[in-house]
Amino acid sequence: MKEVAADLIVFFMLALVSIFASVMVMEAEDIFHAALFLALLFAAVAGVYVLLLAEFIAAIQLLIYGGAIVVLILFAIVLTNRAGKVEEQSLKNLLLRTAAIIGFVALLVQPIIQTPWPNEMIKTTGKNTYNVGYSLFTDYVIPFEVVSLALLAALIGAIYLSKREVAQ
Amino acid sequence: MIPLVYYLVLASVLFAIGAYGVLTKRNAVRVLMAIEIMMNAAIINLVAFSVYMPYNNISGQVFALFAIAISAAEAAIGLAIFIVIFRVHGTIDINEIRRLRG
Repeated sequence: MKEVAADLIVFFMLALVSIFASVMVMEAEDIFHAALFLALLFAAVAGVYVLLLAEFIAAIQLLIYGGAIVVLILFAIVLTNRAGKVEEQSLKNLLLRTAAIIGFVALLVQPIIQTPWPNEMIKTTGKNTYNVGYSLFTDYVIPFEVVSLALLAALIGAIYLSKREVAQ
Repeated sequence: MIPLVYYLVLASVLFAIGAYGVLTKRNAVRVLMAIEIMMNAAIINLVAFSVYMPYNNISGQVFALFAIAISAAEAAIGLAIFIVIFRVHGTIDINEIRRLRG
């Protein structure tokens, strides 16, 4: 019984941190701070994956999101920030905006609550990484190759776009 | 044991905040951050369903990996486009970029 409570406490802490961080990503005045809160959000979501016993996805989340994408976004901020220009954050209609978000959440949550979900977590064998890797290279090997091609094409495209000025 | 509903509600809240950001923010990089938040909400759903469905289905986690890869590609392309737009227009405020507007 005590373990159940610990589970829930950890989940609620992670949920609070991730919701707070995502609100701060939207409302932080300095966009640099917003990027750092984004890193905090990704770390909290990785914690949620650990709670779900999906440790491989948690590691990938930390590496790709917390590492690569946050660094990319920080570089983009540095390269596109006009010095001295503070992004104006109008706090007009704050109540209305909050109400709109809460209404949208209610709209999403209502069918979720009404559906009977299975509430038992599957007994894991402790071989999460093994299972993911096995499935990835047997059932899903063709999607895996397609995704790797798409990623390669996207990165070549990104390099081409950002180097174009030199070529002219 | 945490009920599956909690994860779904957390993902819904994150998705709503991301959608709010996409609709209201003016800085293009911040819009991209909002899209990343929405992606994360979707991936939470994938992983949660893969763990809670009554048969041991690892496919959800495999597709979470694919979604993470696609999201990384999207971030790279998006930020490269923003840098080009910044060179051409001198700003990435999406209210000031009007070239594609009729």
